[in-house]
Amino acid sequence: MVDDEPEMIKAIKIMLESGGYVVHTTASGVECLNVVDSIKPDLILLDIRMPQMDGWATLKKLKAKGVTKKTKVIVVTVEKGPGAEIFGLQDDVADYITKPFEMKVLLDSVRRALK
Amino acid sequence: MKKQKLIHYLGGEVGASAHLKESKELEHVLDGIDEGVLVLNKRYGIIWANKYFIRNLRYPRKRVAGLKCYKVIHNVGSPCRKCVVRDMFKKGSFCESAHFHTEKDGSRVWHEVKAYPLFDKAGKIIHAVYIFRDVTERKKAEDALRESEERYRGLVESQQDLVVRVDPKGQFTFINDAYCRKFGKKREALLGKTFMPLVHPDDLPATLKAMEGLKVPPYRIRVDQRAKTAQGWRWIAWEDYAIRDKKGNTLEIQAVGRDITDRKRAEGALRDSEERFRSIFEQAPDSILLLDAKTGEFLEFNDRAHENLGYTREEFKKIRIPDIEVFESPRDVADHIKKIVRKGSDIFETKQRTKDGRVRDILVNTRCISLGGRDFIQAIWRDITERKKAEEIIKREVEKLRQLDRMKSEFVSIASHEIKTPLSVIKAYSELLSSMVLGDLNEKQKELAEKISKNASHLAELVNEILDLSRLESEGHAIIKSSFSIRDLVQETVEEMNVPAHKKNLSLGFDATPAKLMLTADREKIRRLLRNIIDNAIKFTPPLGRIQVSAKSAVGGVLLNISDTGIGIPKGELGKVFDKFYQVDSSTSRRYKGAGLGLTICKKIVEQHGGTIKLENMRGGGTLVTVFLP
Repeated sequence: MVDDEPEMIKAIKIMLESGGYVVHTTASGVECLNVVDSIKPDLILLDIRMPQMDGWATLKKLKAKGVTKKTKVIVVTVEKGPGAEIFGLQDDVADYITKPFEMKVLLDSVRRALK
Repeated sequence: MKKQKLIHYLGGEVGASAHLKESKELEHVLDGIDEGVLVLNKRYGIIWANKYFIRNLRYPRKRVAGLKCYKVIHNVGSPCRKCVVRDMFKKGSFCESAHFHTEKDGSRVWHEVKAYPLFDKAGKIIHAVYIFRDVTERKKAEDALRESEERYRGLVESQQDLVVRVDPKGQFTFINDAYCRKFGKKREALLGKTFMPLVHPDDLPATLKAMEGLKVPPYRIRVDQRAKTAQGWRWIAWEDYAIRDKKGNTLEIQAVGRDITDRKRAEGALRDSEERFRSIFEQAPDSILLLDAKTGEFLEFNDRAHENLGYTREEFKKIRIPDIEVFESPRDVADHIKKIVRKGSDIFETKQRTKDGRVRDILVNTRCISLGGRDFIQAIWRDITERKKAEEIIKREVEKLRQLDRMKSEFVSIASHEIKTPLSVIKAYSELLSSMVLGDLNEKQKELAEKISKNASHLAELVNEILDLSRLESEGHAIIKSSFSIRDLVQETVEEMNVPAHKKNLSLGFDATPAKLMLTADREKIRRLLRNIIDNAIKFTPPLGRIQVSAKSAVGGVLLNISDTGIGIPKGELGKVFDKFYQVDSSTSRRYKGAGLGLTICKKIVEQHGGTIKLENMRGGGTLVTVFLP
């Protein structure tokens, strides 16, 4: 999971681990791109508003990499409304969760994505 | 007939042979005069004729002797009744008369004739001396004079102009018919009276003063006066002429008058109209000028024109447009004038320099007018310096406001993100707490954690609404129009809102609408609008209630109705529902969570589309929202 807000990372990590998932966290898009090769994740939770490289740029690069080309991505962001459409990435987003969210919404979404 | 013989005859007959020499002298005298002289015997036979006679009658002298005078002169067979010779014979003394005789060529010759008797010693008439004078020319002249006088009289009497003559005292000596008609008076009533009582008292002094002019060359004056005519006071224009004797004394004054009342009235109206226009011209707040298109000279201008530029009237007469023009060179000005003449008119802005060097903004409105083959430019200059300044200030202020608005939007956007991030953390941790993933909580603790979570969500929703409203209010956020089926959109929204509606045990229905009912609008915003209205309805409708949505075609657009069976809106507050942060009362706001921005956003969206939105309480409870979108 990628998020520049450490507290958010912690909270989501606890939530997902309570659901029995193994969670690897990174604080930026750059860090994420660096580690995906070794981790080979089944699912990526991606924040959008991040310094340096934002979520959309990160998503574009992830999709360009062989290892994460088919990996599902859930966008978790404070932004409401359209986003992926603007960048033509709507097909690459499995789900869209608006912060603040209910824990149940997150766990349901992840479960659906990994089905 | 020989002269000698005649003399002899004459002398013999009168027995005056002793006076032969005398007779010859007489004959000589008679031959020299310009009258015809005949000596006749008692039977009208010609005994002697003088040279004039012979010449005048064009008879050869030798054939005259013995001929009857009436045959020779009148070409008739016997003396006529009017014959002076006959009268003289009858009367026995001098007779005269005038008569004509017809020439051989048919023309008439007038003769003044006289007849004298010649007596013998016994006192008996033996001969007649007939003297005639050709007065044809005089006769002709007399006739011509008479005819001329008649013509003149006819002219004077028949014309419409008034013709009078007065003596030096002003008493009428002649009055024509037109004058009598005009004044409604008989000629006899006026002749010998003075004209003065007929003149308007106000005009009499001027009239008398003008008449003084008749005493000096050219002895002719013109004077306008009001006169007491049969139609009341009328303006008469008089032309007076002094008729003078050889010594130069005025005998009479002849006056010809004409009624000019109508012309005066027209002149008066024209003068009034001109005065009015002059007043407009002089008092206009703008400079008004008339320029010669050829020379660029200011022919006429109001005071404003020179005053505004700080010149006196005299100074301004000498300057030309290039002297005051800031932008245009003399050549430009000349070209511009040519253009105006060609186009007929032009409106433009320019800058002018005042005498003391200040620069003024001027709005120039020109028109070309042609008078008598010359082109003139009519120009109106309006000083718009102050207006320009004000415009500039407004422009700057508007730009400032725009910038402020951008800053505000940016601030709201950043602030909302910055608020939502920690809110999301609060929400996440409170969710974790209440989910008891991290360990068990007692009932009270769990309830508190849930409250934290709910309030975090509510706060986030409020932040979102503020953000939306801020975006809607900022100008840059234009609507993106497309054409779509209103049924499809309502259906999608209703399906989406069914989730929260069902949660509250409410039924949400949609009336059947034809799929082809299209709307051209910003689809996302209309979706937002519907969602907000339905969301509101859900919030304010108690469980087991019903919400119904319908869409139908209306004149010039689409009509959307959203009705509920909710609590309705207090009567006095219907007008406030669209105000920001409005909620019916504080207690309801506590019960029905919401920021109070939903309807404000709806109204904004509808306004952006040029539509209308209306809320009303339905009879039997509930609220009806009506939205019209063109």
